[in-house]
Amino acid sequence: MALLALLAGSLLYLSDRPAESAWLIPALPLLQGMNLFGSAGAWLPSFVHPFGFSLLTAAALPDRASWRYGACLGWFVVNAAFEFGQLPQLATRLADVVHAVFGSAPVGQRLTWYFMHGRFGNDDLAAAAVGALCAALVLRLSIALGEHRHAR
Amino acid sequence: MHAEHRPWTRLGRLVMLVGIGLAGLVSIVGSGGGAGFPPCGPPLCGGAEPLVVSIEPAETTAQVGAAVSFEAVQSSDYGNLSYQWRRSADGGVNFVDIDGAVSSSYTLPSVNLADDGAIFMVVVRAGESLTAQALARLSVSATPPRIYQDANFDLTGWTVFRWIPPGTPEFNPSVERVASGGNPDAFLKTNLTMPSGIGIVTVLYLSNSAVHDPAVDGAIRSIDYAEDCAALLRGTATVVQPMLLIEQNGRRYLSPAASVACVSSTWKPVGNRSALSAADFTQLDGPACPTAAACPDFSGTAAPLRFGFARITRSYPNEASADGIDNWKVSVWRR
Repeated sequence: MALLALLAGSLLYLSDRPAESAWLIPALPLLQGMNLFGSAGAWLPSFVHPFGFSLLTAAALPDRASWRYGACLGWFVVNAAFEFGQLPQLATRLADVVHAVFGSAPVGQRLTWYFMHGRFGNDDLAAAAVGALCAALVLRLSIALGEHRHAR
Repeated sequence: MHAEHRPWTRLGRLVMLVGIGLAGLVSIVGSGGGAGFPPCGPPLCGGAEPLVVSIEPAETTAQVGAAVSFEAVQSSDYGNLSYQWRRSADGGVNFVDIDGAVSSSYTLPSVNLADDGAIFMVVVRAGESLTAQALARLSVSATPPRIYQDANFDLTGWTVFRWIPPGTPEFNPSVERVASGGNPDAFLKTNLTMPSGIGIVTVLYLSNSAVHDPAVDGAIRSIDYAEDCAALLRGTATVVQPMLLIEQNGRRYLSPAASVACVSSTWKPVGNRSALSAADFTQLDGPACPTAAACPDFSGTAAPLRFGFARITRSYPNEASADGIDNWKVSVWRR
């Protein structure tokens, strides 16, 4: 489920977003401009990221409910922190810090680009929260299902 | 416990978690920040944000007979808003409601000298409790402005200076006239590479012909400035701030920075300012201003003023950037 969600997120960057908007995702002229996701393309990446990575992280963690839910909370916090970093009041300072740490290394350039050119949105925060909550819900259901099977 | 279902070693689990974590971080940064949603408004979100309103333009000067429009601009999308425009004829002490002026914009179809100095207020309400207000000032002149402009940018008409504060490294901008691709047609393009060890450089451009002599052309009441700007090549954090430049008596002055910088690759009028008075300018260099003297001096006995523009470029050392200017226009309102 996590991999499917992340695959959908990657597909969105291929079909709905400008070719140069994402890093490490090659441009596929065949898909470009197809706008497969319509209006959902605006919020899907912010939803899919915490959802997919929460599930992946939970799968790699020991089988404890608190750890699994912690993964959901952790990925929401990470997504929210990066989103807040795009606030104009913070972006320039963060870009300066990134430049001081990474110099002109590609990672530093991409981080700077993310903070300086990305756009903060309350809605992105909301989508990330919903993504993390949905992941927690999926985990809750899988735990319940596991206990049910165990009981049988 | 179900740990026995996962025959992973601790090391394997740790490697897996680190890999997932790194992949997650890379995918966030690699997304480029996305285009984001359209701004979110109440009731879904944003309701707790204070309502902040401004009027565009906040100050303006118009000639008798001209139409003037003010627009109320709010900080966020608050859904249905109500507006009431008010007017003060006593410098902002008392305001009275303007009948029927209840939309987001207010237009005076034909201003006259009785409108000179009028202050307008817009009161904006979102729901029962959320209100905000903003002010705008109107100046009216009996005479048309004297206009200095250039949309062709013959290089012989301009002198370009690098402004290098003591102790800062030199840099070498190259300035060229580009015959097409402006807004429209020709424009002036500046290419520069930031020097090592510095994050801000300033380039000054003075027109060789845009000279206003108050003794001949009249004392200056206020100045409107307009230009179109495009960021043609941006480094990872390049921000270009366009400003109006004035030279008088060997001193150079800069207008206040516009609230929006030149960061778009398409042409935009980001440097526009209206109703600039002498007090709005900051001295950049030249001799210190004598005590009790006006610097710059807009009076009828003042020395000639030469107009131009400035570009303050903020970027990282050794990064290249390029910006363009078109439709440079200085409107001088006279007393």
